[in-house]
Amino acid sequence: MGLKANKTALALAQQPIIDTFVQPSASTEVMPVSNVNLNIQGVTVQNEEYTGSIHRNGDEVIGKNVTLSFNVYLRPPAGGAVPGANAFLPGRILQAAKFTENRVSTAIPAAPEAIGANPTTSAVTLGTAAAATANLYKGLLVSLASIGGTYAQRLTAIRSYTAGKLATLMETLGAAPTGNYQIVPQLAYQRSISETDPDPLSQSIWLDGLRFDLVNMRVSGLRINLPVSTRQQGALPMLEVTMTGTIQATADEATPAIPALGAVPKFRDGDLWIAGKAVGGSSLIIDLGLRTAAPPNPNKPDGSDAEELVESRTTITADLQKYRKAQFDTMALADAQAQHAVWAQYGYGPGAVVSVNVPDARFNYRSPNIGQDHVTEAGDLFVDAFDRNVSIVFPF
Amino acid sequence: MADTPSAPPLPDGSVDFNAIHAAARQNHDLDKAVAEATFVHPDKLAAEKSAAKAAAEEAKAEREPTTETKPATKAGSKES
Repeated sequence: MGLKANKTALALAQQPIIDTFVQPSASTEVMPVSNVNLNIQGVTVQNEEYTGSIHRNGDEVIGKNVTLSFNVYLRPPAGGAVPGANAFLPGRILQAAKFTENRVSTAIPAAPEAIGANPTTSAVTLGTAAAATANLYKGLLVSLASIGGTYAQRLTAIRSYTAGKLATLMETLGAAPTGNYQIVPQLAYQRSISETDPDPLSQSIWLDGLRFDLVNMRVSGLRINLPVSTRQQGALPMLEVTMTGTIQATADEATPAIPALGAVPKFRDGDLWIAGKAVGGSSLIIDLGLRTAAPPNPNKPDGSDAEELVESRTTITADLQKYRKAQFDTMALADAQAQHAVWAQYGYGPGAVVSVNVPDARFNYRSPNIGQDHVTEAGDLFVDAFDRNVSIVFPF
Repeated sequence: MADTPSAPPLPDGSVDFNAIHAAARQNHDLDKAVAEATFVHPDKLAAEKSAAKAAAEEAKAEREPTTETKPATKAGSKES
């Protein structure tokens, strides 16, 4: 009887101490993933000895390189409220990729209050309950009462925030807002540029009754893939994750049951704003451009210290509709090399909205694609090393 | 931080933003507020405390070196 691929499960735990495996719970720390690939690559070196004949000895086996790649569908946390610290399992992966888990458990202010004077279609001054601290609310979502009829439509992302309480937005509103504002409760994963290494993960992966325990697992690749669902075709937004580390142990153990987490919000009926324009397109991909390396250390069983993050270079790939010059001139935007916000948001009620934003990105030149029914345009945007330069936010 | 009201960069880990917001409203030291609002895993805390204790003991040992009595050189012996 063969091992069945569908009986695959992944559990993960945060590992606060390097080289000390933390056994993830098979009941509370198991999460649904897809497209799992556990790659155990033997590392060999050729034996150059002469044997006195034409026949050579086989390669020396040095060790093994372990990578685990999988996809996680992008769902907000269940439970209807901001979860406790480190409780959201996909959030542990994001933390391991240098995102800070920023928990706004209580709305700011507790009851919506009036916005300040002189709002415009792109900026609003927050009221008396807001703090006068620059950058404090950068990347978070604010609900503006006058800008939409539904919970999701009222949410907009803060691109920058000044000590004068001026919040610049990532969208251009139809009219200057009026009435109240509130920073709703939200679980925000925001990119940190601090110099420290985040904690790695310990993971267990089951392949139909065979369990691999993986230690010192670092995120060596992370893409936030937001494909647009259309009338004709759909695809699910997901995190595409690659992790690198070491096998701690193996054991025979039945694959645990994985909880069903319900429908995945689709990227439609929402917002895709780039440089202050609502633009059409088929996908938005944010690649964190992570790279890890393991320093050599003969004191360790496999001759290496644990993997460490050594580089991150964030790029956004956006497949967009091509627009006329008067509407959205991406060549002029690439010529100017100024910073522009990229904001994608979709979903409906509290606890069911996903919002991804990059407050500042620069255009590369983009090339029109004339091969299909509509002219489209593919190309990259580059993200510089700013604090909170990528945020994934789940509002409640 | 009161004279430079700008949010410090986010740290690794999980932070309680409401605590940071409350500190910002009261013009408290935001670097300290962020450190206090950051969740630290109990195992990491224990390891850090243990490392700090070991370092303190090592420093103490260096400050108070044990007095070693050098064995008396035998008469007539040659030191190489």
